[in-house]
Amino acid sequence: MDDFIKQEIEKRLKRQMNELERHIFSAMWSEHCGYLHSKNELKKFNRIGALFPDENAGGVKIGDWGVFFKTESHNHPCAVEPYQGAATGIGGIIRDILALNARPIALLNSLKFSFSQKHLIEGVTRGISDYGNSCGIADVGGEVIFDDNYYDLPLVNVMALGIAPINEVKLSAAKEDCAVVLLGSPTGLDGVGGAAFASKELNSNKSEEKIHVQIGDPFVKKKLIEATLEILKLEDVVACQDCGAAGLLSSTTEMAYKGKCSLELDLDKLHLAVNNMSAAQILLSETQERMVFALKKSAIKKVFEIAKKFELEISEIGKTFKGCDYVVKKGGKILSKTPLDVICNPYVYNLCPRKSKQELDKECNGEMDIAEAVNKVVSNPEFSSKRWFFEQWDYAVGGRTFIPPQKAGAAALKLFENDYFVGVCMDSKPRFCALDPYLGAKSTFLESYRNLVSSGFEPLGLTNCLNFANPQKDDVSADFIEAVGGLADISKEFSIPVVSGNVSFYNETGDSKIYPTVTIGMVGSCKSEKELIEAVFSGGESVFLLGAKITPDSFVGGSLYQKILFNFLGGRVDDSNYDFEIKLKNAIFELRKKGLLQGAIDVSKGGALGALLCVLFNSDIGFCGSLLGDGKYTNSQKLKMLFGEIEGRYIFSTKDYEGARQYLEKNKIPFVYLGECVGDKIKFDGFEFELSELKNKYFNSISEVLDRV
Amino acid sequence: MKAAVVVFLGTNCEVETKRALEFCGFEAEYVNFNANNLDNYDAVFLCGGFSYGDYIRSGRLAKFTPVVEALRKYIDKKRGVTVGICNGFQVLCEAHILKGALVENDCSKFICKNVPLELKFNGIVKNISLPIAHREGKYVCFEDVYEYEFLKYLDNPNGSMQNIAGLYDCKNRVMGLMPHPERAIFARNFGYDGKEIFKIVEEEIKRG
Amino acid sequence: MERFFAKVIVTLKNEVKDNRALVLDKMLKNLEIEESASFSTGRFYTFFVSAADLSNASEKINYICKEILSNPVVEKYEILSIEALK
Repeated sequence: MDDFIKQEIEKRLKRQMNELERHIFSAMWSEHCGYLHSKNELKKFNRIGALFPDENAGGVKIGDWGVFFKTESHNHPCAVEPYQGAATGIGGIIRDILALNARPIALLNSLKFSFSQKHLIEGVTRGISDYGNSCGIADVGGEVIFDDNYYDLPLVNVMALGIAPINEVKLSAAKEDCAVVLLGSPTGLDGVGGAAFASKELNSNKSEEKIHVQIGDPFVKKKLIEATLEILKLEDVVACQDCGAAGLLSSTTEMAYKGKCSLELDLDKLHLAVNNMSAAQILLSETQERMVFALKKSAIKKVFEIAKKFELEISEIGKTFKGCDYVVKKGGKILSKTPLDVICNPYVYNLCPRKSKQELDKECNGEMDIAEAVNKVVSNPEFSSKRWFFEQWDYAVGGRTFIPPQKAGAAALKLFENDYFVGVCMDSKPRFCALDPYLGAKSTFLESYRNLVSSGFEPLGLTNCLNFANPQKDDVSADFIEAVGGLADISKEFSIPVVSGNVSFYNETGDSKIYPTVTIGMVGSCKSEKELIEAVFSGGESVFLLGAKITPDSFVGGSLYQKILFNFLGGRVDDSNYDFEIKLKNAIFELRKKGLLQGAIDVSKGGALGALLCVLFNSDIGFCGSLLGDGKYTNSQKLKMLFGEIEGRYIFSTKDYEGARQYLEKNKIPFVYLGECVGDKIKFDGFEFELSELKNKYFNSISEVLDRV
Repeated sequence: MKAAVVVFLGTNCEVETKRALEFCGFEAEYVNFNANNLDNYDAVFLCGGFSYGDYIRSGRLAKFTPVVEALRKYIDKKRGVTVGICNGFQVLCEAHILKGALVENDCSKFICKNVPLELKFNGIVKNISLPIAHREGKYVCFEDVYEYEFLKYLDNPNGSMQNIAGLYDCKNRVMGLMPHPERAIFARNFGYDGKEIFKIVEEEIKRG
Repeated sequence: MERFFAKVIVTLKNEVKDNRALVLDKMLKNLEIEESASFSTGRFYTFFVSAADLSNASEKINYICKEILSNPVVEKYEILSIEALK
């Protein structure tokens, strides 16, 4: 805690802090809990249409049900202990959903690694696998990005999605005259000080950091889920909070602050894992698998019975009453009595950075033989199939999964409760954000948007995870402001609310820092299985490119091919056009309705050719046609037109060439006919590839490296 | 036809198993791990998940529960058909109700995907496809179990001996299988072959 | 009744392929650390039992190993030590 903050706290308290209070404030006024550097910026987000955006997780309405979702980062813990870090990241995000009385039904991950750090990749993947699979929540996908920018700074962003009837949602605000109850694992020393840990740059000596990493227990979590959902059904249970960052302290203070009442904790009443824990240790412990409830006295007996049934420990640890203080008792003595509005209202910085303008004029002019380029792109780990990852995650448990990972832009889950389908995806475009945080954030939004649309879903809401370096540095905070601005502007434009989110700062170590990385999770819905669209084409179908036409003058900065082929990052990022995107969405949905669309994919990584190849590999079918048309182009222009990434494009297939063409012409929707799905070769513009050869590279390039002993 | 869906602490496929059973014409209800009588049911399903966290070994601790004691009696008196799916199969093996054991996959990793299988029942052989999702699904046995083989992998994903994916002890009417038939009922992407398994259970109930 | 402290390891039977061990063998060989390491892997447990005497304790520990900690179809166990506590 720096002097400025210390003075600010003592000014507001009108007295000096004692030792316990110094611990309380260093946690609650940390970046991780208090959002000191981001709070003012995050106010810009569009929340209109979101359900409960001020709760642990917000949501959107699908039918008469609420679908709640949130992302969380577990970057720092995964850097020092990838297995437990990833597992407890999953554990934490599940509890955020659970606290609303929503049953978690899906998980997604957005992972970034340096491909050379095999131990991190394996540890994180296995942590997600062991923990997520045991909890019985389907892990339906997400994304994996490899870039040496993330060397020693892996990003692990996880997302959970849960459902509840809207009128049964429980909020986190307590009321006066309640008992406070703690359910779950006994509180121990694991993760003490984790919130403060997540709010600073990583120490180069990682073994020292391990004490901050919590240990998860998926079996207890599964029981905790079932017990919590049973407890929250009781009418006399008033509020629920999960114990995440800053443990019991942050959950109980928030509960009381939101409920405008005082809360007193008696730390002698807790079930503990070790003896002789200090008050600060108990309050700040981040022991996993714990939930806090505020309930009327009449419900205590029932709640204790439920805990017993699930073989979980429980204790009554305090009470709420009229007032506005946070009171901590131990050994019969009051150790601290502090106004809640000081604890829960930390000082907020106004970011006003100066930024050195980036060089955006550079253009990628590299040249490479097209056949060589295709082979390089297809076998690059960032482009190639991520089945090595998702086959280790149980994407089908729960029996709701209708579109598994990588079969379409988004995963599809059925709500058997009201027969709707939920579509969900998770995306980020770090290299775009590095070049232009404002347009990069917009582009990330659109990537998710088109992933949903190309899978047949109407996009409804989004959550985000903003991963940045140290916000006290001018260029970082400038990037942050621009990225938030981009996301805020586009979510207003599209009337899609930001329902929840998370910020992770200090992703830097030594002199390396991560790209500004905006991760978006977006949710949409559709009404029947017939409306789902997969990225699968069949023999005999005609393939069309829908939307913007790429030219030698298009802006393709940030495109993956430039990194893979030339290790180049530069140039301008393409801008978006709202009306055009809506027009394309309507066209996709109309074509589907008329039976003129069989399969579809949005055009992103690897450009038009990349998108086409992905579908052909997944569909096991060849192709014959043209992507370049009749023009005369130089080699580097050809690369750009084949692999370049601009906004506003989809590829789809149809059985009715004439019908699709007439529809598009009549409605003045720009399109290009690309060719036909046929045979076992991929032929375009004079180039020819064996489908099986490229496909093999696409599916096996990751496992060949990671499974090598 | 009335089926029990047994729920141990840590079981996590009970909802879809019940849903699948009901879709296939069964009446289904959950039965807790401390139930001590199963005579009410024509079939008992032990479903997927991680009973007791799969600590020590998959399926190991569930065998000490009252419901597994009740199940032994249920099988002894030939009351009905017992089906163990995934973790349920592991429980049946750990309790030595079925022969053999399930150990870690050869690749040491969890595998979640659809796999092609050969279903052999009542002299009829057909190829089907079902999803698997397990880390400890490699079937190992040092006795002859030829007579019990009813479900085999066509492209062995985990190293199981004799490509065994499932066993059926016709005499005691006990079935165990690693693939998840309850996941292959509703969605195009997982196929509809799960019904084949529930059909066999139905036939076996009727056979008495 | 006296208290006894047991240390036990459970490993796969020789006829069951130990994948983790094979991976370790191969890795050490590739790293040119050890040509043939012949790893075997397993689980290690320590626990306390109450019993009248050492032979009763041993009986109880054997029972726990056989019925709870291992599956005799594929695993074997070895009691490393039983220590009487003063």
